[in-house]
Amino acid sequence: MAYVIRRILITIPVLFAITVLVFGIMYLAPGSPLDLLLDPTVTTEQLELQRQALGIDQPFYVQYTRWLTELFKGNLGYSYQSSRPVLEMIGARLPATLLLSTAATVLAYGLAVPMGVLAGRRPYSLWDYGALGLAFVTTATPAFFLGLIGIYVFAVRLGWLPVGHMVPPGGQLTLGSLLHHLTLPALVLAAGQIGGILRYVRAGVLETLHQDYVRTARAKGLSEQRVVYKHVLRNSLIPLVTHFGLSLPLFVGGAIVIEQVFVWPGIGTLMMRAISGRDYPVIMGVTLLVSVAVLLGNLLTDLAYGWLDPRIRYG
Amino acid sequence: MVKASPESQQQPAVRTYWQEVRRRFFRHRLAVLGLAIVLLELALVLAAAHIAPDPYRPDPLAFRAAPSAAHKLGTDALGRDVWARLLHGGRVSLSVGLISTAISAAIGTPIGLLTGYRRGAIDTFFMRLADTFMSVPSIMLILTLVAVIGPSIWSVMAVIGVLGWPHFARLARGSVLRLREMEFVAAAQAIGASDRAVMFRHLLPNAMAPLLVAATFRMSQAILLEASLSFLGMGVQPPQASWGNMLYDAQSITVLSNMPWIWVPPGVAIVITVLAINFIGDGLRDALDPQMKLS
Repeated sequence: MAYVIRRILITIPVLFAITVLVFGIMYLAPGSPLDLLLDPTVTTEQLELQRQALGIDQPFYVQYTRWLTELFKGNLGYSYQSSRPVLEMIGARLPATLLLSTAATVLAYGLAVPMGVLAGRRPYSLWDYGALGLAFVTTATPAFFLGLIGIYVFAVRLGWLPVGHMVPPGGQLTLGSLLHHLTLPALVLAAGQIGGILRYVRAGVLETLHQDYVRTARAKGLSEQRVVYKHVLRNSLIPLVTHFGLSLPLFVGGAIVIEQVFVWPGIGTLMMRAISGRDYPVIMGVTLLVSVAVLLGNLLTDLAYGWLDPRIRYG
Repeated sequence: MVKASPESQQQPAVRTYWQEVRRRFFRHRLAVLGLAIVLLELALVLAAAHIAPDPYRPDPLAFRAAPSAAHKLGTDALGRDVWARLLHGGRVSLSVGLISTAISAAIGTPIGLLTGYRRGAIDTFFMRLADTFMSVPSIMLILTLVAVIGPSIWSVMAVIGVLGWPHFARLARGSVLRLREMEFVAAAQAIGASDRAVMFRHLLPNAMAPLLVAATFRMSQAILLEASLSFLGMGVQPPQASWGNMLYDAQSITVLSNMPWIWVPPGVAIVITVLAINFIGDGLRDALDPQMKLS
């Protein structure tokens, strides 16, 4: 319990540091968002008034404190481009991203764990080399290239799946069409994760198989099935929880690129549009939200690890 | 039994640590293959001017032309030679990988040595800072920073490099924590070596192995990051070629469907390069630390 509290307390300064980091980058950005909006007929005085209205003429700490106070009230500011509240914009995009990433995570673990177990049970077999080869190639392939290949093969050549979007233009959102559109981006996003998970599971199984308690289980005359599922798997899959936490930032990165390739209406495409338009409040909002999510994800996996494996004692 | 050759009788198997490492590395077949691929790429990329046409000059008679005798890999939407752009894109990828990794190591290693050696408040501060950097998804931070300082090959290198410091800092710190209680450190301190000498002359060489391995993997990571950034339009800017921005054109469905020669070569080049570097990393890891088996 003391560990839980200390772990949460450590997270808080990191959270603050993230807000300073993100805000600092934006503050130091050369040029102002007004550069893009204004036409040359505007006078310097009007420009100055605009700057004051947006509050970007104030020193760093004033702007930061104001932003932080608003943040605590649940206000992430307003988009420079659309004047809509940033929180609302993110909220509108969040479900699509959550759907895509959940589907990809389920797919990745659903595919990689069994493959890793098989590879770990028969090391240096043909299957093992095949699985490791797959792991190597998927980790070396950039998500966008795999996405393009996927579109080329399944959408352009075979015509089985759509080239992108979540809803067909002018179409209705139905479960069938949603799954139809989700399949390819989720698979591609999952592929980027498979290599890491597979190698992790394989190593875990390989190591656990040589433990004394596994030999004991075998000596008791338990069936191989029971040994593997009850004794080996349970113990070798626990470290996977840590892997999940650690791979979150990379996963988010992959999701941004994949959303762009498949024109998926999520946080990633929102972020990219904000970046090209220098829409600082939106960029800050998204970065902050995602970082907090990653941080909380790490906290939860850390805590889950201690709960799943009582042998772990935090000093 | 190995038959003893006259040579080995004169010189019993006394090999220095690095000779042993080299021997083990060259026994790792995939690592050797990886090294060969990277060296071949380096040679091709450096000889680009002699073996390929100008990557910037459009051929007015061939836009999006299929591979032919004049253009080995065809031409892109502006009539530029794809083979030439592939080679020049390779220069970008390899140099981004090398330089950004060098930057990360140059920042991260001293921080790791210092925090591991001194401990205390400075350690807590830098490790919390590392936590902070590592919990913000790097591509997001990189995208934001590149957007702020303006996309180009230099900003991409610098940003990827600077943001990579926590990896090296953590590894170096971990090694120092393991080494600092050892006798050779106490001996160095006893003869009056300065802290700096202890850190860089005594601790660093002993902490080198994991750092080298991390550097190779970081290099392939940097190449992938640069490609993603350029693909998103936030990296190397046209007309300069990069494997990532060559794939940018494939976002057009016409190019994607009908002109594979424009987008397949740069994609394959990325995969091969990253694979080769990762193989080298695996080989290095096995060679540097015989206890650590490839898992």
